[in-house]
Amino acid sequence: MTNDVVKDDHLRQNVDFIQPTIDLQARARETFLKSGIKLSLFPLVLFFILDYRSQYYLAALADGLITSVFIAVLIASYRVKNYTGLYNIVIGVMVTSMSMRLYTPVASRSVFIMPVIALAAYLLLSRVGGVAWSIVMCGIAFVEVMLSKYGFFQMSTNYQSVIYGIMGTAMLSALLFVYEGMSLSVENQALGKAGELVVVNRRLDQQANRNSHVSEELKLALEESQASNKKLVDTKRAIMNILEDSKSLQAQLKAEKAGVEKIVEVRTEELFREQTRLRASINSLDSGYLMTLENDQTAIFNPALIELLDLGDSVPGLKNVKSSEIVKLIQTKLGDSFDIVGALKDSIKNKSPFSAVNIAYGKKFINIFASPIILKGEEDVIGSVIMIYDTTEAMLLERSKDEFISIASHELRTPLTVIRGNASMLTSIYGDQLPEGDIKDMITDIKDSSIRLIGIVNQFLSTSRLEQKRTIFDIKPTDIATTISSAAKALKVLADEKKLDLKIHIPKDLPQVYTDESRTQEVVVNIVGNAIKYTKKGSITITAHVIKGFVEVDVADTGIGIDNENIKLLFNKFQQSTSNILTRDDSQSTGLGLYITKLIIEQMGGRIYLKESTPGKGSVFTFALPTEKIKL
Amino acid sequence: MAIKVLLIEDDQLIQRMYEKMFQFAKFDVTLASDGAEGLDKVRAMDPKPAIILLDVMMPKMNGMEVLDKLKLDAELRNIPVIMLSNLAGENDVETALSKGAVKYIIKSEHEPKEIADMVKQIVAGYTRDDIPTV
Repeated sequence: MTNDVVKDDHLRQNVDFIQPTIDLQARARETFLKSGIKLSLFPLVLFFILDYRSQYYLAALADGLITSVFIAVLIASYRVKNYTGLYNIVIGVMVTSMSMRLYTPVASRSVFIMPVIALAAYLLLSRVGGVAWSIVMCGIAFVEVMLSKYGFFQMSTNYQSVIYGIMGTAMLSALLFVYEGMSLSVENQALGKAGELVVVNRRLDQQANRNSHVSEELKLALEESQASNKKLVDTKRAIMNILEDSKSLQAQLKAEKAGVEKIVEVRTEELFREQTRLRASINSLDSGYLMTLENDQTAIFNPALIELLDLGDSVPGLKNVKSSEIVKLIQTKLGDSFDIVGALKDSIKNKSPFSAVNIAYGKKFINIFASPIILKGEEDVIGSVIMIYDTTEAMLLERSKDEFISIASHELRTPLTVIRGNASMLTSIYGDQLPEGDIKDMITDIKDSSIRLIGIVNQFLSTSRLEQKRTIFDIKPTDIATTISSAAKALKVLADEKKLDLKIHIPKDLPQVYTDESRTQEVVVNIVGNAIKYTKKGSITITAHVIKGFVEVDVADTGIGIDNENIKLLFNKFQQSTSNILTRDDSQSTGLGLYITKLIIEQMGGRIYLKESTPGKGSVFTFALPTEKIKL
Repeated sequence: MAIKVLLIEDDQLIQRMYEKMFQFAKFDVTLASDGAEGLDKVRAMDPKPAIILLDVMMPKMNGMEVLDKLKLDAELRNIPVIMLSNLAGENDVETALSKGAVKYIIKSEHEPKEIADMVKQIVAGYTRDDIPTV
């Protein structure tokens, strides 16, 4: 508020100063106008004085009047613009030219030329040019008068008048110019000052207005500021409240954070413990464990894997090995034995596990089992877990077992071959040299026993191989009628010896069965052979029919039949038709025949069973073989 | 003309038994007691034997190795070879036949006379398919 008062006083003082200045301006303009009219009378008087005695005095008077009027008009126009020098020159020129027009027709050209020169002088040389022009004009006139006076040339009266007119006009113009210039200077100064003051006043007014506006605005701003301030105070209070709350919350959060941190710590410890336990359990496996992860992350594996696969040199430090790297190492060691890279790719692609058994790995044999890892609730495979088992010992044991059977069979057969061969040669080569009776019979018994013993050895070997599933089967589409007929040829001799009727009724339109023909013949020989063995009189009938994807072959006999209690033991090893192990039947068989037959049939995808049997009346044995290829 | 037979068999009893049988059958029999000896003898024999009867399990060089060497020798590879063994595994039979033996005979399953008859048949120009299998 104090500042506003000071400003207002200052403005008031300025306005007081400006008012008399404006009065002075008005007075100056009035004085100037009057002096202009007064001055404009000089040409009139001069022209009249110069020419009152001549016949042109009236014309001079007229020119004087015209000139005065021009002067008055021009000076009046000065109110608007300040072109003092120009007006003076124009006045002089106009007076001169008018005089020339009146005194001499010859000089009429100057009426047009001289104003142009005067204007050009002003434009080019400004106010100084106007003054200089007047002086020059005056000087020319003076020189011409002087030259005429001293007789250098004779001026006419008219010409003298012109010269005098010029001189007078120029001198008056100069005087007028100086006088008016001085007046104008004063006026200009006054006007300038007044103008400045007006401008200042105007600016002050504007400033005052602005100040007023500013003041209003300031007031409004102040009010707004006060309102804002109030709001700020409220806000501050609110913020303070919030800060208080925040502090409380912070304390609460801190407590909760501490709680969470504790939980995290406990959980981390639990996880670490769990991971350690898991890791320890993996490391304690005596089988190789390998977990490969997607994006070729570091593989997880146990020491047993490195030891089993002899990767110690290839995986230094046993850590930080990429998944692909370790799989490639294993593949390199596997060579052509097994394509583990391809199998893993297929396993991941198909999302299914795979296994490979008894794979040659250097001097070892291994089983590989791998399964893709799929997280619960997700579909993507994130890696594979691979278990590798060392089966070398089992393989060697198996091989030695098989080799033992083979070698044992070989070693048993060799002396039996000699016994059988020599006994045979005794009867065939030297038979006519042997006495009839006991010796010949004894030699025949030796030969038959050796043959029987060879049969037992063969059955043991077959049993062993079938149980170990090492028997090779050549499964292919086979005509069962042909197979049975072929096997029956050899059996026909036995049947005939016992005067049994061996009948074969096989339909011609039976489908082919998937079987090993040679093994199937063995089965037919065994079953039909048993039928012949246990049938004293009557017949053995072979029939066949199709039933649900199988061809069933029934071998029916009219033999001794089997008791119910023996039926369930029929296909067991060393089982004969009698129930007591110490009680043997009279077939002299080992009790392995049906057991071997069952193993053969089942390993070819078929089945065998006793369809029916009645003691004293006979039995029906049935075996079935598939008409479609089945996966064994 | 007697059939010239080379019998390579390490078991003396069996060797003697077949020798008697083959002599009875009027064969010209040469004996060897192991694979290496058999190979040496067949290389040295002139004229070459009409047939070789070769045991499988033998000292020094087994029958399969002898068979390999016989089949690699241009002079010997056309002599028919019958494997005589009491090893009765499917693999043994298949291996021998795949190596070029004309027949694999399990000794215990055949009497000496049957074997002599087989020799006659093979030498007489029977092909492997014409001869009854084991």
